[in-house]
Parts: sequence; structure tokens; C-alpha cells
Amino acid sequence: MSPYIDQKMTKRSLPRSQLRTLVAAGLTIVVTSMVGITMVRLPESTAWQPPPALENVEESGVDQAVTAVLLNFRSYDTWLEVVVLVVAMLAVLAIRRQHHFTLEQTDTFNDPVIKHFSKLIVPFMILTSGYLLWLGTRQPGGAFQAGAVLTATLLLLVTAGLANADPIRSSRVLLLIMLAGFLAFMIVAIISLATGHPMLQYRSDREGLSILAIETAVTISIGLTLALLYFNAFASFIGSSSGSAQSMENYDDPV
Amino acid sequence: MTQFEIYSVVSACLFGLGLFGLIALPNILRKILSFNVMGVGIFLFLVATAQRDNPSQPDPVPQAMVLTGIVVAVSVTAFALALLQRLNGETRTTILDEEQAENDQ
Repeated sequence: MSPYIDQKMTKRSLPRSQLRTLVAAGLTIVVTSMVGITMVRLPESTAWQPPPALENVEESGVDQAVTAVLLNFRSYDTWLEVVVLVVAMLAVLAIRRQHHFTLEQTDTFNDPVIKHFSKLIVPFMILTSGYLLWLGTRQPGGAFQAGAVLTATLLLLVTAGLANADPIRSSRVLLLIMLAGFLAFMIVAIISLATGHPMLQYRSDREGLSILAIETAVTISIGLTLALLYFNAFASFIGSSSGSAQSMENYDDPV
Repeated sequence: MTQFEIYSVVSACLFGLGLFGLIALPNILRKILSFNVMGVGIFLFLVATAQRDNPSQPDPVPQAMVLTGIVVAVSVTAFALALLQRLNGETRTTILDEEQAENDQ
């Protein structure tokens, strides 16, 4: 058969990927315009009153409004947020083929520059994390920000190959540290319930101290949990032998 | 255009960009990143709402919700990456619907 007849007889419709892109673009434009118009047209509030959270900051034990909301007025939400982290850790444990966490040395960067730079900067990063934790009582800061810096510190140590300095090989110790934030909240909840108060209500003369104690436990817990989550989710990608899957050498990308 | 309107439009655009990426991109890692972009758009809108009525006294409750939301998004991303890693280990691919992608070429 001649190619001319072939071209006439085989009528190709739009390829599936282009059709999907067009449908996605149309849907996106519709949804974005709807969402945008709704957002812009939100009615102004008629009788604005100062937020109750702002008015009661002095009684919360800290000087910063957001920290007061997070750790005093809505501390139950923060406790559940820590639970979300624990559940994510359990889910990643269930997905991995090895059912324990490791914090081992990798040999990704045997670069002496990165090793030396890490040795210089890690103490300052730990100091920054502690400072952010303390700063949360009077300015934006607190447990989650400090925990994020701690996560960055741990990941830097691991990828620079320095994590073998004093390894925590035991998976149980790692799990205990990761549960420390949750346990701190639970201890405060049990104590408050046992003394007859509503759950998670601090002693009125020790509110600042309770908040700082909980935040410290949550910081350490978050730092280790996030570092282990990301390290173990992509362990083989950064070269260690504890990963659960093959490396992504045959990474295909037709897009 | 008021500040809140600018924030709202940017937030809606971020949400739309994330939605487009989530649907149209076949690579799963890019879908995960698009999902995060959608989340960031919503966080921006929450924070903009907090300071809308009286910028000198922003409501701290939506700001605390955004902090919680960021941590939840990070946890979900970690789990999604672990799933992607497991999928890559089992099927040696990172693309959803690879047969379609092959048929189109």
C-alpha cells in the first residue's frame, strides 16, 4: 500500500498525553478563576473585634502570640501535629523493606572541603537551633523552626560522612528520641488530668516553664524524626547501603 | 489593588499551577512537588486572611494553623517520597502510566 493511502485511512486522534495536558489546563483555568474570584470577593467584616488570642497573650506564659496559640490555647492541635509526625514515621517504617531506622555514615561526599566546612558550621547550627527554640517565647520562633534547623544539621552530618562519629546504632534509642515530643505532651496531659484540671492546662505559675520544656522535647523529636524520614525515604539515592530500593540510575524521563 | 487582593490572586495562581502539575505531569516526583505548591498557595491565603481586617493586629490563630499545616505537608511529602522510592524499587520506573507515555511517542 502506498503511504498516501495509509495517511488517509489511519486517522489519528489527539495523543493521550496532549489530551490530558489540555484537560488539565482547562480545569486549572476554571478552578483558578473560581478560587481567585471567591477569595477576592470575600466580604469585609462588619464589626471587627480584636482577636481573643491577642488579648490573652499576657496570661499564656509567653510574650509571642503565635507561640501562645500553638502551645497554650491550642496545644491539643500541636499534640496531634506531633502525632502526625509519628504516624508518618510509622508509615515510612512500614514501606521500607528494612524495618528499622539507621543513621549511618554515607560516603557520598568524601570531599575534604565539605567535611571541614561541616565540622566548622555544625556547632553554630546547633546553637542557632537552641536560640530559635528560646526565642519562640518572645519573637517568632519556637519548637518547629528549631527542629527544622536541627534536621538540616543532621542531614548535613550524614551527607558529609561525619555521622559515624558517635553512632546511635540502636533502633530503639532512635525511636525513643522520636517519641519524646509526643511523650512530653502526654505527661503534661496526664498530670493535668490527675490534678483535676482540664487536659493540657498548665500550672498557672509555671506556664512559661512548661511551654519551654514541651518545646525542647518537641524540637529534639522533630529534628530527629524529619532527618530520619527523609534520610530513609531516599537512603539509596544518596549512596548508603541501607536503602530499600535500587538506586535511581535508570531514571526515565520522556517529558 | 489592595494587598489582600494581590495575595489572594497569587495564592489562587499557585493553587492552579500546582493543580496543573499534579494532573498533567507524568513523573511522580513532579506530582509530589506540585502538591506541595498547592499547599503553599493555601498557606499564603490563610496568612493573608489573618492580617486582612486589621494589619496592625493580625489574628494569630490562622498563623498557627499554617505552621501546623507546614509540618503536616512535610510529613505527607516524606511518606509520598518513601512510596515513590518503593515503587521505583519494585517497578524500576518513576512515571505513572508509562504505557500511555510510550504509546504517545
